[in-house]
Amino acid sequence: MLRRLLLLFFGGVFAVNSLRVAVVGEGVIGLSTATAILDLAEKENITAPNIQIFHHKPFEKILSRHIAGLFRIDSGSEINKKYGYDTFEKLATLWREYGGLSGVQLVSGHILSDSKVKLDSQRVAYGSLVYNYRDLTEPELFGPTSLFDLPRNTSTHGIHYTAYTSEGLRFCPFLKKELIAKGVRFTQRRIENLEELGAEFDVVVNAAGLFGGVLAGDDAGNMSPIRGVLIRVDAPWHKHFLYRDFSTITIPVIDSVYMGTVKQEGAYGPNNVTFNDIQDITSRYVQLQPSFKRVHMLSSFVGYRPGRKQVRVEKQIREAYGQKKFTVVHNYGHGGNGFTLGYGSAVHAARLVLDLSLDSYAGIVPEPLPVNSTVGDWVQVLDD
Amino acid sequence: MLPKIAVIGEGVIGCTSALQIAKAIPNSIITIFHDKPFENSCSAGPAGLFRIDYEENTEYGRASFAWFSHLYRTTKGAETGVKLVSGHIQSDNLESLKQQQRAYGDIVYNFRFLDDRERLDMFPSPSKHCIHYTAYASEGNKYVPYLKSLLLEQKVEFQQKNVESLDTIADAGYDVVVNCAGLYGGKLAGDDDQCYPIRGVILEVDAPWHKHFNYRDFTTFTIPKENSVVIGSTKQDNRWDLEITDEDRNDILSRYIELHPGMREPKILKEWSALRPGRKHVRIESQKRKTNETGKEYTVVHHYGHGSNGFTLGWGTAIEASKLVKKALGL
Repeated sequence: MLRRLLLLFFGGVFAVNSLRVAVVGEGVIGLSTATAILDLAEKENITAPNIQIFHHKPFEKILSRHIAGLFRIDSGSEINKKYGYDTFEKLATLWREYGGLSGVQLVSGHILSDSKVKLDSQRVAYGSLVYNYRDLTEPELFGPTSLFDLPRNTSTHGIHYTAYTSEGLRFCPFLKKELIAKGVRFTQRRIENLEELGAEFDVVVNAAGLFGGVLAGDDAGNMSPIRGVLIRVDAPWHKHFLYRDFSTITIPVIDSVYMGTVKQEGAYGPNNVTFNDIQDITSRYVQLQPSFKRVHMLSSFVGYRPGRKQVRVEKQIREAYGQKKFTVVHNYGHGGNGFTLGYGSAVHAARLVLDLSLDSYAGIVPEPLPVNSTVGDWVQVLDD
Repeated sequence: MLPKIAVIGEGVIGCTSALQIAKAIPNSIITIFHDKPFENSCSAGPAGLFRIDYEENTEYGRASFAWFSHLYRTTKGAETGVKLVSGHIQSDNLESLKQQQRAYGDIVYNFRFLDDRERLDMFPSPSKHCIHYTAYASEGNKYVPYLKSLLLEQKVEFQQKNVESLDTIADAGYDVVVNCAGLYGGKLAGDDDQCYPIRGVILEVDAPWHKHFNYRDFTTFTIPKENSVVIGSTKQDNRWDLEITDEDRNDILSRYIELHPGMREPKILKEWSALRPGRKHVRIESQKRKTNETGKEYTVVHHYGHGSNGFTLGWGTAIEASKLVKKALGL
């Protein structure tokens, strides 16, 4: 009798103590946030929250699936550097433990630009995070033994570094598998607004990517789709990433090479890859690397980056129907850097979820953007 | 009468020499003699990573690097077998890495020593020191056939023949005989007993996520090929046996997996063993000879003994060998 009472008591304590967390979105951000929540809970010796991840599109149809995920930061703000640092550490740990099995891959490569300023800002953003970061020398760029076929009268600069790719196709399923093993539930259900989850959950994480702003209710106008195109090619001898500025690129992933891209800000069509896309991308890339002429193309894809001036990692207290208070933690708006900043932003979001110290973010979290609920035309077009 | 030049050996050295000679002496008749099928030669299996063992060979390597970079810039890697690779070499012996720096640090790209943060982050139990660089790997099974295709364009002929003596070839009408017989070059020369085999064994595995070369000292390594990764190796002086044993397999795998646990339980696609043509120095030398039978005068240009560096040095040493051929013909 006493034992049963004790069991009930402790059972009750567990039920009350286990935080109920809903995550909206099973892309790299949703999966990373759930992972970070469980990693942190274990590290800080807190009871692991009960997590349920909601997704409505199948994995094959979401942006994350098609991304090569080369580690590179566009804008080196202090918060992005912090996010990048935390992501890099996670990728390095996975690489050391699992080799390529986690979808993480150690990769080296080069970035060329006519703008030394742009390259110097890359150094500021992540030069000390990655490995082997260095500026290319004149002979490496222009000499008879140069890596590139550059006309001599150009003033091109270049950098080299070694970092990780975490390709969505394999990295996301890996994270998902680990989460399932830890008891996280995945549910296919379209979430119309955060309040519908607020009734059943203590915390709702908004990792809805491009639609995070709409779902938030107060931020739709701060989001903008940035159309991108990637072509998967068969080039197994190509073991490096190569960029010219940031739109003419190849990134080798585990079983193929991704060639790209475009960055059409505000564009929400065409939804399929057009002849012009292919012409544009291949002509730019072949100019950078002539030996890629007539490379064999396997497939191609259009995606819309979740553009925002800055990543939104923010906590709000809201009221669900029936006046139940619940916490919302936003984690969306990563633009073209979702895989580079993803885990780091997830750690920040997880700290908000678990109410842990935010000392490491003191002074570097940017001012929130002003509220803007204007829903653009693109929302209806892209939200199938 | 066009000069007739014979090249003995169709490995990387024979083919490279013939190509250089064809370019240097466009009006000539060149025949390459080979005894065994290419697949059984030492050149068929290597991953061909650019790396120089001895500083005396630096300038040969420099010439080869220029050639590989030209191929890389202009032609698909699938055609030539040449690919750009980056990677790392670790060692507890700092001097051995400094020696590598002296041997080719200013030839390759991105040569540098890692700092502690990088070394400890990238590798689970790293050696005390580590270098990084970017260079070319020319895999034998594609690169040498590519050279052959260039040779066929130059109307070079290939003939299967077991060459017992250089004199026989001279008597058959050749003015210059280029001895690229690798491990057997000394025996064919008749005056050189310095050649010795350095037995090597490699395993080719399926690990497409592994895009770098990764060495600990110079016998434990991986090098990516186009469609596989080579794990190696052994460097056993004076062993002639080619059979691959479990002892070989366990030795190679245990050493490499200690360096790189992420490669444990690899999917092995195939195995390969060969005898590197060991010699203290590469022999590039011209000799005037007279055949015993007819007294015909001819020149032999020796070009063999590249040890572990045949693919790295071949182009550069072949330039020198072809100069000797030209000189012998009075051109």
